[in-house]
Amino acid sequence: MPGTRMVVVWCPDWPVVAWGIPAHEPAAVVVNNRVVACSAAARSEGVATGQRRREAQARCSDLAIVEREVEREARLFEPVVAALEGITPRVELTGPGLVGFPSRGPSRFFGGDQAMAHMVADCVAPALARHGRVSVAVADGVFAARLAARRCTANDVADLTVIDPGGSAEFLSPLPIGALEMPELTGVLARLGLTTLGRFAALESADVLGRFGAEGRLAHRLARGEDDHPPDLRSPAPDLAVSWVLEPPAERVEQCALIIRSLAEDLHGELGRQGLACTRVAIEIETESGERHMRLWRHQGTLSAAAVADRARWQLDGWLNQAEQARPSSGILRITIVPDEVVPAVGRQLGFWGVDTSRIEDVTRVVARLQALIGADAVTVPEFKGGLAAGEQLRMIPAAAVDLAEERPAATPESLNEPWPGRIPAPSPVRICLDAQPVELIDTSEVRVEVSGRGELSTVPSRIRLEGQPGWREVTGWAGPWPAEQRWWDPLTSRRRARMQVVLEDDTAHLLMIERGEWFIEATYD
Amino acid sequence: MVSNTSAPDEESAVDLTALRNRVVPITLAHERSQQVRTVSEPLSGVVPMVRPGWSLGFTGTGGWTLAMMFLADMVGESTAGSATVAGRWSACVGLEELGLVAAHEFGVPMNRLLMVESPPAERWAVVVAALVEAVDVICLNPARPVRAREARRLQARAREQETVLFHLDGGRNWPTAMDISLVARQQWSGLGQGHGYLRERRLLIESSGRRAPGAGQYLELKIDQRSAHRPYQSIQQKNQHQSLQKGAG
Repeated sequence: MPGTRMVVVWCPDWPVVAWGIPAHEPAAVVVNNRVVACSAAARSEGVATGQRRREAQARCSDLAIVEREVEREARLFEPVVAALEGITPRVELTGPGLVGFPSRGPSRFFGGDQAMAHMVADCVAPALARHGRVSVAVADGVFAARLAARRCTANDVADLTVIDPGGSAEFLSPLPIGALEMPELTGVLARLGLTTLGRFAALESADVLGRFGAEGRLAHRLARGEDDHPPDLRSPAPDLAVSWVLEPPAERVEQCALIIRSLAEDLHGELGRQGLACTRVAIEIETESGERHMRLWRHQGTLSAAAVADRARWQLDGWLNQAEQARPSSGILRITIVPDEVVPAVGRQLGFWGVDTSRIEDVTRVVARLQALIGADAVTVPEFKGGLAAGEQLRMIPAAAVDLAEERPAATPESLNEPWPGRIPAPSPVRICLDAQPVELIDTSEVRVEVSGRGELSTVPSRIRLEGQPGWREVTGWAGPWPAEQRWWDPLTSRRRARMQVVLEDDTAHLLMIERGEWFIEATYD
Repeated sequence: MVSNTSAPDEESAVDLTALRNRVVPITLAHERSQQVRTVSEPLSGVVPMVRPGWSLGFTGTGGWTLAMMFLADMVGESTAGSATVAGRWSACVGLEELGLVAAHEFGVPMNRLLMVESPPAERWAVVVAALVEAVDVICLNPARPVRAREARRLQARAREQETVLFHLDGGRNWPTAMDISLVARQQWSGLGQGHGYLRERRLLIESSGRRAPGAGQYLELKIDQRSAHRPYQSIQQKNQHQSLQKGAG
């Protein structure tokens, strides 16, 4: 039985487009130093998703690298979704850049799939305001439609693919098995000689279920061009919807963060008690003056509480940051989350040793609370990124941007693949001066100590004091200078510095830094 | 559509543990706070154990290093078994200056650490109170004096939630005395006149305060971070009352 006929609208390279980077400029968007999206120009130079940042930079030397910002992507995608709502009310968002809806009604109304696809492309193009392309595909089943949309290679602004009814299985058949995007499963299948979707689809459904379980069965359904879930879904009981009335109405996203989070958790808990998991949610926001904003969010797997909360936040953020006339005119009064499509939860295999998650739940709850209290970026978690100076080796990520309950490989230095030659070895300074303090460093005959262009000290340092303050302190030990030239290839951002360790008479140890003839205390070994 | 404000007693499944927790008398909170966290060697030389809710102050040169050593001891790998997110969490409030690489070198788990920006003064106590509920150790560095009422309330909350407070300013802005006050004094070696690099140091630690095990507990540690996981070892430990030999300044 073929899947529901779906239209998928896909904006390729959306993470790049959302940054406002034109396709002819090489650019890549990274998360955890891995490329997650790149522009067409970068792709033609050999940059691909999944590469390490270094690898991508090696392939394409003038590659612009930006960090991923999902909020921005969601916000800029909002006009596209709003434009599509003119065609059908049943728009389902998968994520920023990818949206779909069932084609039956609109297709009849606009006179066939082809005409409707044109209509959709024409409708989305102005919302994109000329940056970025859009590809539209119509096929049986959302999986086939998505793959068809992705196969846009033409350089047209819009790319249309219509796969005839019943033709999805045929279309999918020659595609590589990796298109399922389930690396663990497809790795096994490829080793078994099932290298294309067609070969996998030819297996008996019962055999696949017996050997590969629920996940294998889902993959098998997709490979055959069927819907990802059997059509005999129970419609969720209406009382599963959760809603909250804000008192007083909220004006900003931060004010709603905690409520969204707790609503999502309530919903998740209630579904869990009934042995269900949610694959599509409807999030509805209502303002004081009665304006309503509703979006359907779909997920290939099942939506966790954190994922639902994220989507609600994106939606709210997108609505509040729209152009003047589309923005809500008053505060947010009510937030409702409706589980639109639920499936029996087949469970997820946890590690052999059970993980006690109660503490993590406490932590995530408190983080959400603090965000509402002092701002979304006020709570951060460290991740290693590599760098020369002690303050540059870590980067602080807003705690809202990561899932605290998941292992974060970037939180260990093992995630760094490259050594940083020129780093000052451990121990690292415990106290880093946020604003480097200028100091005066002189020798015994009160001559200022300088560092030559060759990285040598002009004279032996003997005393030091904070600039413009009394109280010289004697330098009892020193080593260096270690020159550090950063980004010498770029005249705008290049920095020439040298560092030196000193121990003073009061047993304090400091890391000094000289830049443009000025000495600073950069950090203290407290 | 039902608002989620419905009464909790409508829950069908009654979790016995939750029920038991709900009916325990309040006095048990006191018993719970009798649980102690033992401190491992060699730091146990100055502070053998820490009770939930205590305030520990760290001062002197090398005070922050000492704080990181204690933090690693209380929330680090040895308590959790492995580097998972399921373990003890710590948080730092208003410690933008803290060198996290150094903290990592002492074994503070970076995947269970929250850094909270210095909150506005009027929200400081609320932020710390929120954190008390979720993390095991909070490192504080208040920018201005904390009001006595807020401090009392935080301490009671910390006792109840079994959280330990580290004061990286030595408790300067805290209205009540520290339960244990640790003064450190460091002596570096490895740095010559123009050669070498900071390699190892001796850390002299003196503990005092109303909960200190005895007057003037004193410990000398050698810290050499080139060696593996626990990079410090005890050189000597004395119990007699003896203040640290102070250098010039």
